[in-house]
Amino acid sequence: MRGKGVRLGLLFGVCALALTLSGSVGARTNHAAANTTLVFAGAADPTYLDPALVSDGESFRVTEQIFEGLVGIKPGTTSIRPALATSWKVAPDGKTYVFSLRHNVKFHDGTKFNAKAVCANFNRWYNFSGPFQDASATYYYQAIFGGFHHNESNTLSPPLYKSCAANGTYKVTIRTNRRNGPFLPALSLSAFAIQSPAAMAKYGANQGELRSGTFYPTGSYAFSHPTGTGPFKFGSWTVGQRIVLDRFSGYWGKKAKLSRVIIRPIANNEARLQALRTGEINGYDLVAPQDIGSINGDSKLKTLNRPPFNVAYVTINQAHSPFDKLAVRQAVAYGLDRASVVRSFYFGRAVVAQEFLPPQIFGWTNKVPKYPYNPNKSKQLLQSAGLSLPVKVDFWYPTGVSRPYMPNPALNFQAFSDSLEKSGFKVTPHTAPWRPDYVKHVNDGTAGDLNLIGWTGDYGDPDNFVGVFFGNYSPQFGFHNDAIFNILKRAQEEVNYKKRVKLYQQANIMIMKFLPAVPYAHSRPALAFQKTVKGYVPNPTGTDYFFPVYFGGQ
Amino acid sequence: MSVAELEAAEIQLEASTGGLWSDAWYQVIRNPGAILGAFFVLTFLVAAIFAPVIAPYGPKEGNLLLVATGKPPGPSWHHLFGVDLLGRDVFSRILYGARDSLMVGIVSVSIGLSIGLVLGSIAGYIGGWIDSVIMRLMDIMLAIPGLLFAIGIVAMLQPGLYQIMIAIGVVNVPIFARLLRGAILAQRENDFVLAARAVGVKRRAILFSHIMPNAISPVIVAGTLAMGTAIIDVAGLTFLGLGPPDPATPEWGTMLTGANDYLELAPFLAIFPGVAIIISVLGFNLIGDGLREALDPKMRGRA
Repeated sequence: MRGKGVRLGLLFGVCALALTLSGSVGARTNHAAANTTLVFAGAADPTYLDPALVSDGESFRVTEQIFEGLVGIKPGTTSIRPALATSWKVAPDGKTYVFSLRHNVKFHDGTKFNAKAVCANFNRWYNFSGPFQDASATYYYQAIFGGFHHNESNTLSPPLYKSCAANGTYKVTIRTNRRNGPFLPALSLSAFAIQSPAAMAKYGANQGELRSGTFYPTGSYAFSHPTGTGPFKFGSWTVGQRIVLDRFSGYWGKKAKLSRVIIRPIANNEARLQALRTGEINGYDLVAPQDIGSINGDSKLKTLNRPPFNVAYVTINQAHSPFDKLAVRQAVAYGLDRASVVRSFYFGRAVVAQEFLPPQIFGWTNKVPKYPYNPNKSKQLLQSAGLSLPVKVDFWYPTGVSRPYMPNPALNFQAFSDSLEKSGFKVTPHTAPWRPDYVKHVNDGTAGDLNLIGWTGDYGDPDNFVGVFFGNYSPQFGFHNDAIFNILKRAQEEVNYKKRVKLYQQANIMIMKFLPAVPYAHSRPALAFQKTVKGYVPNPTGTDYFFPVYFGGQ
Repeated sequence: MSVAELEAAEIQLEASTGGLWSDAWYQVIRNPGAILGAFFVLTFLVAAIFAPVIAPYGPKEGNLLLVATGKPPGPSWHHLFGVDLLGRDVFSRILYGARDSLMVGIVSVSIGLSIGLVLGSIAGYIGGWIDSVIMRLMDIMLAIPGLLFAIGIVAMLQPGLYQIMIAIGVVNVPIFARLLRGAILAQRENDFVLAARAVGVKRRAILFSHIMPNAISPVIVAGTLAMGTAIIDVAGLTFLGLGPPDPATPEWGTMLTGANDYLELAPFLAIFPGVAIIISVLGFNLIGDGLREALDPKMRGRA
């Protein structure tokens, strides 16, 4: 029986895990890294490296270096800039785009970039069939372009894309079936980067299958031959260890200052921080907000801020009575102590969200109705709705997850649940692990009356926020409001910038009056670097460029 | 649990100088480890029972203004163990947490003990194929690692404290069953049992009046030790996220989980619940060890 004493160690062992982990990582210090090699850590390996077929940030982190699209984003902003297209014109019908292409651009395999290559890419996406039509392969294509040439499932919508025509070597005309405002900004997504048609054919980029419901490429292209025009070319990929990218000396623009970038997956937050401390890596993304203070206190390290491009919100499910009543939703909004949550749990890295759009994006307006924390007003509203206090509410939050807009869901939940209980509600807590259960329950509308969730934008268009959330009926929110659906549809189809801004401002005011959910935070995620790393500009979208990065004195 | 069987066999009673229990008591109070253990357990019990009286704050009573900077202040006179990320008093939460740990410990050990005792005594006293069936079933349960088994049960029942009690109780069943069966088997062949049978005492009376009192001491030892294990298991299961869905529950394992990401910012958030777990578990283990030595016939009368 004495052996049982050993089990004492179990919990201590769990406690100490983070510490020992950091110790073992620190043992391999890498001083050899010459000043032109940047070692950077993300949280996970890419899924694979065909940008048209992935949708996660870790994949885009790599493909953004290898590939370029027709348009890119200006570093640090969400506005678009010329990339492989030097200029473009939208015809008055709003459905014809003429792109002038950059001359003398070569893919990494030596083949030429031209109008034919552009059309080859657009037609590749449009003609995807079989497993490629699964959302796990073409999530972004479907989000922007709708469906395919031959839709194989009736859940797919009609395609936005109509045709691509090459007028000469360096001019391309792309036609769409309908007007769509977000189309151009969305082309800045890495998912719509132009890939070498020759390399794709040679290495089987169009081979793939569904493996237990998830798309998986069976050709070697996406694993060892991704070929674009970007400032870095693919070197090697040791799964679970590192991806090596080398400077592309034939790049058309300003060549990368680094000769090599190594991107490593380090899943654990604490381990990433320790790897940076020991010099094993030069920088990392997804800094835990609570670590920022200690990183800034280290004389050799610094943090960089990513502009806020996300929103954390509390879903209100109107399919559940009494949340179909506006007064009850207003009571929820007044009953959530949003200012305290943002102040205490975001370490000064967030602002209170008054609407769903982050302030940086066009269409944001200060004229939305605001709902400062006011428990008495909540109670009055509930009573005015004819309810007896306390009103029961089933409130969900996720476990096992930290998102930039929600560093610690349990803390947000507890503070909100306290403030709701002071405001005439009786909260029943409910949890589920983030993946796969929680997200699915939220999407299916089965995650209680209220739940904690949020969103990080993909490209600089308000449609990517409010259009995604409230453009159509969704079980998550459980409401039909034609006025909101219509104005968002009109705003999406409008191609005139000024008119779009107006429409989105109106839509935001309508939405915040209707309160389908309560937004509460826009956060600024952080990256950490050694002070010698210069020139890194975090983009709001979360996918950054490595080519301007260099090493300089402190 | 072959060690347990061996021990059970060792604890056969011989002709004794004084009563078993008075001898044991004498042994225990001379064992410094057991005294220390008793002190720890007493502290734990007092904390659990009088939590509402001792605790300066409510377990869920938070003040977000205290953590307005995001960094929770450490120990001070107002908050002996500091405050947590939601501005709640850690000292008060640990006191209230003792209640849950104590309750889970007692309930789960009682579940394991009562079912285990019934199964063990049936198997041990009746024997034959019933014995075989019960004991093979126990073997199957013992073949699955305890914590893993408990995780499985909780996953099946949905996370929560009651579910954890049931899970840990079930995991304890085979331990007690085997132990008691071993002890009964050892007693069954003794002369006094033979004598009782010879004068026509009924089987049930023999079991309850003659065998049980002599076979129960190893079970008491195991029960004490199981209390300690149960507290660790609860903390482990809640640490893994199988605890009560309300994250505000002042449960030690839940508190550790909450502190996990903030080790660098506020290490005391992990240290205090960790120490509370160690002290209570150590207390039960020391008492258990003391009792085991005291009830061991080889040690008896040696003082």
